[in-house]
Amino acid sequence: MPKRILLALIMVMQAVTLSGCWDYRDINTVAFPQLGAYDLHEDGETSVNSLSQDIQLIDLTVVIPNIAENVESKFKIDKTTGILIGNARGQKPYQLPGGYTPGVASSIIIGEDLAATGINKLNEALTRGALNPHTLNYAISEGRAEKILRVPVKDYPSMGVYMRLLLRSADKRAFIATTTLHQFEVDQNPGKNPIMPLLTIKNDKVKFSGTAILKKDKMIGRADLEETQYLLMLRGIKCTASLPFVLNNYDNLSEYGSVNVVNKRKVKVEHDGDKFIFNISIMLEGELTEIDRPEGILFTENEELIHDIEAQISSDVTDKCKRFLKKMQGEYKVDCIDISKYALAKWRKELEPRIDEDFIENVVINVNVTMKMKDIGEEN
Amino acid sequence: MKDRNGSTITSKQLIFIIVGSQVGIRLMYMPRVLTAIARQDAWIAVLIASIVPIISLFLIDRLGKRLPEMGFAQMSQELFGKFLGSILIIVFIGYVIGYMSIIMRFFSEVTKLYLLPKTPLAVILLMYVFLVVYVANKGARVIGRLNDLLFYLILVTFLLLIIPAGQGDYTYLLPIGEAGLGGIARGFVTAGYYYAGIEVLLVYYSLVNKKDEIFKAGLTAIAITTAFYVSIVVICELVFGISGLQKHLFPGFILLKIVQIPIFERLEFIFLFFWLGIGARPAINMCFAASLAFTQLLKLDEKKYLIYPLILIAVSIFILALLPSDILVVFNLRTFSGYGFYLIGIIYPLLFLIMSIIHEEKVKQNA
Amino acid sequence: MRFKSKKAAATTDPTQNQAKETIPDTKLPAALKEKMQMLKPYLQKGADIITRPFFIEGEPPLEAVSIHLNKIINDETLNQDILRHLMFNCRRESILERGADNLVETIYKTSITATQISKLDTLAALVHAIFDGLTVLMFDGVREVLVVDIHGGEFRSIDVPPAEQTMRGSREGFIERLDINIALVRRRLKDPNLVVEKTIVGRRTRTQIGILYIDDIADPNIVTEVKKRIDKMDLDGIVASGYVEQFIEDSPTSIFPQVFITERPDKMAAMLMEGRIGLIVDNTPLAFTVPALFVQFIQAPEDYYEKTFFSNYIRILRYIALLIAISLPALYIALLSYQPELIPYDLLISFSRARTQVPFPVIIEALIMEIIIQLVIEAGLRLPQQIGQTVGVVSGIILGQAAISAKLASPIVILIISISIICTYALPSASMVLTTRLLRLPLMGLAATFGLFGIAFGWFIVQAHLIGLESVGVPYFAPLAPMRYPDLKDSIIRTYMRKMNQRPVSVPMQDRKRQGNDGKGQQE
Repeated sequence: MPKRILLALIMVMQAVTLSGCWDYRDINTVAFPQLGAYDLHEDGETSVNSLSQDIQLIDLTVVIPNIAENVESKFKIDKTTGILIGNARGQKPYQLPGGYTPGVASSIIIGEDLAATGINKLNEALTRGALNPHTLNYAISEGRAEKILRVPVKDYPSMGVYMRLLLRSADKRAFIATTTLHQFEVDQNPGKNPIMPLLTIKNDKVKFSGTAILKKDKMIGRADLEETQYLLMLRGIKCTASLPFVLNNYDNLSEYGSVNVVNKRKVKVEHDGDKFIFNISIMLEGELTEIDRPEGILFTENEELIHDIEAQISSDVTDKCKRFLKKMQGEYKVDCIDISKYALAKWRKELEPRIDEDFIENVVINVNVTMKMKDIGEEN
Repeated sequence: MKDRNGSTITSKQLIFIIVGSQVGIRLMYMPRVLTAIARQDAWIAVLIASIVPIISLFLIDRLGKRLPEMGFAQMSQELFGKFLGSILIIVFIGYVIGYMSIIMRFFSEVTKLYLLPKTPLAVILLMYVFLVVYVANKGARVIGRLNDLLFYLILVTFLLLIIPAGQGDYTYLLPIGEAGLGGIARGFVTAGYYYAGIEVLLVYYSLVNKKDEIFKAGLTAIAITTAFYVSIVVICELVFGISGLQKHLFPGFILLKIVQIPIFERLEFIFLFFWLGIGARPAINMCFAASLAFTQLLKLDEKKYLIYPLILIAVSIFILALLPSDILVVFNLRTFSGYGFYLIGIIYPLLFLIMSIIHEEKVKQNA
Repeated sequence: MRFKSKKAAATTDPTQNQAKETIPDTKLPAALKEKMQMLKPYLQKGADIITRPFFIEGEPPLEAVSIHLNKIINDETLNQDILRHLMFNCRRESILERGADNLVETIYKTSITATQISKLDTLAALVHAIFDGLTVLMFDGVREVLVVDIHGGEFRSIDVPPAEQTMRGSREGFIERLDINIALVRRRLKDPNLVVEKTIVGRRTRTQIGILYIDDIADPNIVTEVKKRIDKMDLDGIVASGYVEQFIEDSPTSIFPQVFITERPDKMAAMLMEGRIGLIVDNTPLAFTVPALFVQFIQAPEDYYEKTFFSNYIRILRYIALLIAISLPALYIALLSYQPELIPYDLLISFSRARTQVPFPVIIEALIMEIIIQLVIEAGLRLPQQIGQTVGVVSGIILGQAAISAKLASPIVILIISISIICTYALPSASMVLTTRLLRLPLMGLAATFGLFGIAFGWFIVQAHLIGLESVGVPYFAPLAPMRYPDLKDSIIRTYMRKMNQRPVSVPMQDRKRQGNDGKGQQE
């Protein structure tokens, strides 16, 4: 008898479960956007529902690869409008055939106007939907993000591929900040603020042009490429990049060259009454890439030369960092170098209510940079 | 007492049965619930709360030592008389049904959310229920072996969860102890719920072949579970931070989304593949326990009749699991089942133990 | 010839009741003519029964008859060792001196130089003896009949086992003759404790089965259980060992093989030394052992003949092959239809492009190719050897190409199905190959309806089934579940030969120690 009951169970199960494959979608009908751009709405098409005029609409533009044979271009660009990202996506069925899987996107570019009004609301669609990866890269563009998508790309199959490669490998090779969705979420915690790379279009090419400074989720300022270097060193993000240096010695003959450095930082915080003192030590380790020096000066004969270079770089970097810190405390008034967490680690309860307002501009931050040259290459 | 085919389970299999009944989907949402109460000291609360199952284990072990060869239902009828004893067993079965329907509902919701968005919930539930009936029908020996094998698979999948820990920030854990005794105490009470699963020992006790190793086995199992729980809470805190943790319903899954490895684009789908093993085990263990208790209650031969109460229990779980309207309701119901655990895990063995002591004295007096 | 059980007399002899015509069990008369009369109805049915009357010298000469089946016995022995001696070197008087009653006894002891001789005195036994292929000698005036076992005739010589070839190891395989097979095993296992028991199964075929086990290693409970199951077999006949397997296995409904088939005597000897029980069936060149464990089907004999590292590498490859063989098509279907996010982006684009050309859904595509390939394999089995290879290659390449051009399948599906087939045949055991071929299909069906969840579900059910399976009471999936740590030394990977000093714990047995020094292995 038990066997028969089990059999009956199996038959019922089969009848129910095989009656429809609800989630089946044929892969060749699904659109896979690799790159998305969010902007404030320009005049033009609007969404299907009419809403009150107070709410600013958002444009969503995506790059979708073309999989059909014998088409003109390898990708197509599709733009829709909605109240937020999810709603904008919901307008796609009206113009895009087949399914749509946002889950494979790997980079998102946000227009700077939109970034100034806050990114958290855009994030919602990406985090609430369960199929999205949290390893998406974010970037902010100067001007409208849509323009970046439409830049013609000759060397890569589509802008999506280009963007993905650009954003993914950036911080390994230079001082460029990159953020993933997860990092952005984590940086919403009290005491932290995200930073995002800034993109711009120059001569029909998309380039990095600095970093956007955000206060929680709103963009409030920008740092150019040079300031970004020091920002990242202060923030403790490990990058490998090239730093130039100029040595003034040997009777006004300057030697100059560049080094490849990797940066590390350590932060200590002390409490003195109502004052907080942060001591940041930045350690740079590098190898000498090149140096333009007068004839006859060799490293083995001038042992001081290495130390000179190290000292020069250390003092240069310290100066520039100090300058940046002044700007941060004076102009931006946000903690974009991620040091408040150390204070929170020690005095969380008392600091947490006020850590995001009126904290960072009143603390004392001391910077100390040490450079160590580990390698001078093959040549003497 | 032996189950069909004279089958018994070894004490090592008991370890894995207990771990399997405790570690389930709760790993995924536990950090969120606990950090809401105890902030960054949630892991301390979890660690301390492991005392709750140890107490339960101790009580059940003492009870079992006094009445070694009796099944749970027999024990209950023996100590409390036929009527009251049967009521107690029915309450136990009711607890299992209620608890399992919550677990199954959770599991199906998560599967639906991540893997099969458009498939009706009832279909996923049906598959799950079928699985439980099929496996639980095979008897205690097979369940012991299954838990044995699946434990190692779960260990491997757990290692997946450790990969994102490298992205964590240790400052989120500091300063330690800030929640204070009050916070930790409240966390302790809630964390106690998450050790539910130890009460299956009430039924499985009589099936183990070497009874004197049970206490040690139970302790090992609780240690393993505590290790899992503490690790996941710590890792989630490290990676998300306290306020960030509140934003996600199932932080355990998000842990896997933030990592990228070369070949498998999405780690969470790999995890979800083994997910069925994790989610199904508590249900299998407990449903078997409940149906076994049922057959013992009606004094039927397990070999032939195990399947009937099993189907009955499975169908009631199925119907019950479809009742809540959405997942937030289920989260609320979770608290009730937490109270149920305290009842069945601690009050029941205590009552039984007291009764057995009184009983013995009565027997001694009458003799 | 039947196992002597205590209730032998009382229980019915299944080979002889319920037969349409029962051969009466009457005692034979003394006179030759009467014996021949009784035998006539049976002898008439066979044109290949040779009756040779002869005389033993004497005054008067003693009449005798030899009856045998043509080409089943060794004619040379019959002529030289039996008939010659009886006809030329035996004198009735000299025999009679020792007593007429002891005629047969005397002949048996002094005149015939063949080795296996026994005596019969009932009609039933006599008829069965003739048809079993023995030579019967009947003498006038003597009730008892002599039966000589001089099997001969044409049979296949010992050859390389076709399905289990190894690079390194003996090249002898079993053949159809039971006695020779047993001899092959004996040559490798000269232990006096090796027990060989024979029994007859099948009412009409009367096939002999040999049961082998080592007395002080094998668990007596298992031995009794196996014998019980064989005794319970009551059927017309068995033509091959497959019949016996299906009768003595625990769960005939399961698709997993529960007996381990081998064609090699060295494998059989190794199994016997591990405490297993071997069965050899007459007329089948396959022998099998019980109890069988799942891990055995993934092990091959040469694993033990090579160094540890090579064998571990190959074994892990085989496990991976097993997984791939069963799940790869299902995984393909699930990933393409349900979870495309899991595929790396560039692959995704190329898969989509390939799929645009095919009008069917993925499952139909995969099923079509799967069925075609399975049919090609089946056809390949039956083709004569010369055409076989060519057709295999031709069908593989051309069919594949043609299918792609005709837009019946995309190149990826063909690749996937071919990889699965190759992995299937990488498994060393033929029974496991059949299982894998079957197991793929429901998994594909589940993947097509539920995606990754379906595959996980299917695997879970298979796991649960395997864990619940038992082979003569021994858990099938040991040493993985129940986890028997000592046996992990030889399950997925194999440790050094010197460390394998205890027999596997998964198979119940009496004596654990395999190596000297009280089971601790070589002395350092």
